[in-house]
Amino acid sequence: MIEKKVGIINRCLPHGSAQGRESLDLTLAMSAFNESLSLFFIGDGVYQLVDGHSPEETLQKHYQPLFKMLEMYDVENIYVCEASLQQRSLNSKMLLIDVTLLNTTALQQQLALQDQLLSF
Amino acid sequence: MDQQKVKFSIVVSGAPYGSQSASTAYQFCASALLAGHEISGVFFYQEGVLNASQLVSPATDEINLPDFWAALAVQYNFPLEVCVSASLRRGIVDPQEAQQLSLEQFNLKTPFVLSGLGQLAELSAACDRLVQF
Amino acid sequence: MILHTVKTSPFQTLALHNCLNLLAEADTLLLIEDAVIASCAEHADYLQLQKISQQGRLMVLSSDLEARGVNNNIGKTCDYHDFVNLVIKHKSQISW
Repeated sequence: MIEKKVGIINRCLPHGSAQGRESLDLTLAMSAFNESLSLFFIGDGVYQLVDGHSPEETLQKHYQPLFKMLEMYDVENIYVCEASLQQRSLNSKMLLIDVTLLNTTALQQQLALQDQLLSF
Repeated sequence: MDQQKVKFSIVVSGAPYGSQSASTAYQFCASALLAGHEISGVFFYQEGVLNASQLVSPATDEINLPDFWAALAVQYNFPLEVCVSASLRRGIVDPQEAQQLSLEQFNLKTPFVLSGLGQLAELSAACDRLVQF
Repeated sequence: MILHTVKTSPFQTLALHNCLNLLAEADTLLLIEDAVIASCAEHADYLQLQKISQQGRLMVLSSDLEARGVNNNIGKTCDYHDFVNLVIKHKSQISW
């Protein structure tokens, strides 16, 4: 059986909700069973990857360092929406990990390739 | 594919009360089963784990969604998998976890079961369609 | 071929707007829960929604319209049975 391509979409800011944290938990856990994962960061989701989180005083867990584990877990398809970065005056140099920037058309194509999508 | 039997796996991320999405998920499952399709399993994640509480006690003229899930799962024989880490953070505990964590109470409803995220990977691999609510 | 399900009002969140940004030509949009309101009243993305409706790619869950006492001006209404078939017809689903 061919392994299903699973795309995990991150659309939320970190810390205001557990979306980002629980998406990352799910990604790291699923990577042990599925080697065809792709991560998408769109809209406010791009802030998940902006380096320099320091949430201690908000009583939220500092989970950002775990993004660095993705490489070790062989999750290599990490796509970030270029337009979302630009809208927020951000650029890829400000991100914690190496990513592939995609324009809207490329993003649509990449999403269409996935067999299953989960969104957070 | 319309006439064929399709295997669905369902991800529920919403609480049983306070937002609609778990109810939408239930209606979707009931409708799919009625049409002769199969539910491989329902995976409860994030706020969705609260669907597995045996302490949910709405007024008698209101829907008890955990009861509905339990009845549907028994009738059609599919598993209700509840993410253990998301559960423990939100106070959903089974007898084994209660013992291990020295908690005085547990509240996981039958036939819900606590399971790891690996179980979601299995449901994902086993189905024709994955639907998230 | 993706089925996009949106569940929040366009007057409340940008989920519909963000979804429309990524909606490809082969995709279908299904409005559920509070999002059904997007088919009833004009909002910032109404014109684009109208266009998708004309292409036959906009569906609205009827029980959620009825629950809120509103009627859709655009899009095709569907019930849960249709919802199930929409999922089957599409390769994947994104829940917005």
